[in-house]
Amino acid sequence: MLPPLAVLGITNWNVFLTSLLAFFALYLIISITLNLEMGYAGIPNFGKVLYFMGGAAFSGSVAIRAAAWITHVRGDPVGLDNFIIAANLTTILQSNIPASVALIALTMAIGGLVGGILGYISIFPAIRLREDYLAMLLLGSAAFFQIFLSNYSPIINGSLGIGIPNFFAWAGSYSTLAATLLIAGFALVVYVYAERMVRSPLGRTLRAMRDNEAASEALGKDTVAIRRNVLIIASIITGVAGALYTIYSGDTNPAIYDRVTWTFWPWLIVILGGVASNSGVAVGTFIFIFLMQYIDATKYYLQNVLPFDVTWLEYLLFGSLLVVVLLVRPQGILKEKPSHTLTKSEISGIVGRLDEKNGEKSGTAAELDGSPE
Amino acid sequence: MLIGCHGIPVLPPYIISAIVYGSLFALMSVSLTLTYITTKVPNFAQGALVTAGLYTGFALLSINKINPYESLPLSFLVGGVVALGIYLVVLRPLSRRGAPVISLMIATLAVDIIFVGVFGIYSDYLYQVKKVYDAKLFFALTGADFSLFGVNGVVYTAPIALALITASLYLVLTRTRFGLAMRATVENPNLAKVVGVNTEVIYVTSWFVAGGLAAIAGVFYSFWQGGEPDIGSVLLISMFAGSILGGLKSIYGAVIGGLVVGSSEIVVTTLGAQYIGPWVTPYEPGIPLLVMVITLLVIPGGITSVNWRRLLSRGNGS
Repeated sequence: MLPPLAVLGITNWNVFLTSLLAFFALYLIISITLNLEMGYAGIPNFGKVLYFMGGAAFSGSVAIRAAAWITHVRGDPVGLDNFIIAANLTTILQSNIPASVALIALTMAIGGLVGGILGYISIFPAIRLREDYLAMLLLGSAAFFQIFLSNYSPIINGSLGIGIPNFFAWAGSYSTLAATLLIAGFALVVYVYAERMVRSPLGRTLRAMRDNEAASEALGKDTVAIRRNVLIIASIITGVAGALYTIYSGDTNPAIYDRVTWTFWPWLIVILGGVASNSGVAVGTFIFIFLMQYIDATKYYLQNVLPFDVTWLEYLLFGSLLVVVLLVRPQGILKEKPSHTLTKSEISGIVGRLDEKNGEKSGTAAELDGSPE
Repeated sequence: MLIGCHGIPVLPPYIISAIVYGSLFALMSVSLTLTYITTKVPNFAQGALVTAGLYTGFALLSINKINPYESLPLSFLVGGVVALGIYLVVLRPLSRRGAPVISLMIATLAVDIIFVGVFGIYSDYLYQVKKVYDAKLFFALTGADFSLFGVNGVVYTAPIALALITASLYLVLTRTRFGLAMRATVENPNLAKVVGVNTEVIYVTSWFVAGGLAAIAGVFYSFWQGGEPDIGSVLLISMFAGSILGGLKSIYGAVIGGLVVGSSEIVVTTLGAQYIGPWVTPYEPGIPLLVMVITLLVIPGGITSVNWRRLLSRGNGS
């Protein structure tokens, strides 16, 4: 066998590409929901990590307990024997595909549920407070939730964290790929959902509400209810993303959920890609994740030369990137497009079909065609 | 109250701790409020200013053996220059382009993350090149502090510094033309410009002073608790809580808010650990969050928005 060739400094392209896809999909989910909140509903969510952390931690906790319960494995699954129990469960579940799939579904459901509950709690400040107060409160709440998880051991054994069984063990050496494809599939669903939502009447209402709240209220739109629904939906999806990350990484630990990784990077992605533009967010996610993964995969070349940890350079680089984008191109890479409307031929087609249905030959379609541009 | 040697009354340690914490968070909240009233944006990079002062004092002590009290003016200067840089390089260009508040907030958060990187690199550099082995996490610099009546010097210097700074801010704001111009700028910048106030000078000065005050608080903090590169983000929530309790718009409110938040963190946690159980201690950071939530629910305008005189007379009268 040939020795691994380092193409562009990367020795194992399979691992690199799988990890790239997994993190691209994961960050796409989070950034799309942040874009819904910030770009469309006008909620500056500075506590994005809160919903992700809630979903990831609680779903991991429930998943391993449920796995131990259905397979009758004894011992405290989130106690000191956690890693032994998780390894045993992986072996047992390896031959039990239906149980593994059910546990994956359960993990995702718990993630969504916890995310949704946290989102529901956040409504109360989100619809009452001014944006600066809200930002401080959400940032503070996320920080406290992390402290809570680090100290309250029944959930994920405090700051030690827990490992969870590999629910994709049946896929053998493709288990990471299978988990990656699950995240990618969910990301695709979220993207299509967000794109359809934005193009629906609700999407236009959201833009109207963001651009002129008083006017949209005067037109009878319940801005409080709309904002509430967007926040809850976005939180549920973020919670599921947290659960997916727990499934993917196989463990959950409070130290993972810092505000830079799960709040600030998504904000950077949305602003870089383009606020209120889903395709822009996808482009932004790809650029950011590619840079990040590439730096991570190649940084050991630099590490030997520099008298400090290369991770700090990521902070400098991406922090500066956000400031530069805000100064130079505040609209992001892809600007927000005007509301998607039907073309004239599509409208006349619909009207024509309606006319045929009603049997009216006098034709509104003809009138429409003759109307001035 | 216990009676110590020489017949001097000795306060319980947690009361002393509460006094120091209260003074430190009051200084930080004043600094945060100074930046808020001028630029009207919560400065999420406030922790970086504190850390800048803290590491200036620490590095000069570890490498050049200069006592942090002696290097206090230099720490003030470093904090001031950092704050000025944030204002001139990031916030002023953004607000001149008419950037919305959300953009300004995320820009300050970006600056904070840049500075986490900067302090990370600096502490790694101190560790690996200058062989300062506690650079990444150091404990209270008690050795560099003096001791008086059996307690550390910072127990006296922190409250005294707070009192002096508050008094001088009061005098400047009420007795000088500059203070008058500053209050006018804060109230209505456009009107102030019309009557000939150079608002830019006011903004620049406020940011410089705010940075300096935060840095001084950082130096005092290193005497009492030590530090690490990411210490700013830990302190940020308490600073916000102090400012919000003070109403975000009032410097005197911030003094009281910071004192209340800082001291209640210590007092509530200590009493909680005594009467409920030691498990409550790690949840200390929840107290500023609780203060924030209660303030926003009960008195969203902060304590300075409450008409205390009317409240008291109503209580005494009928």
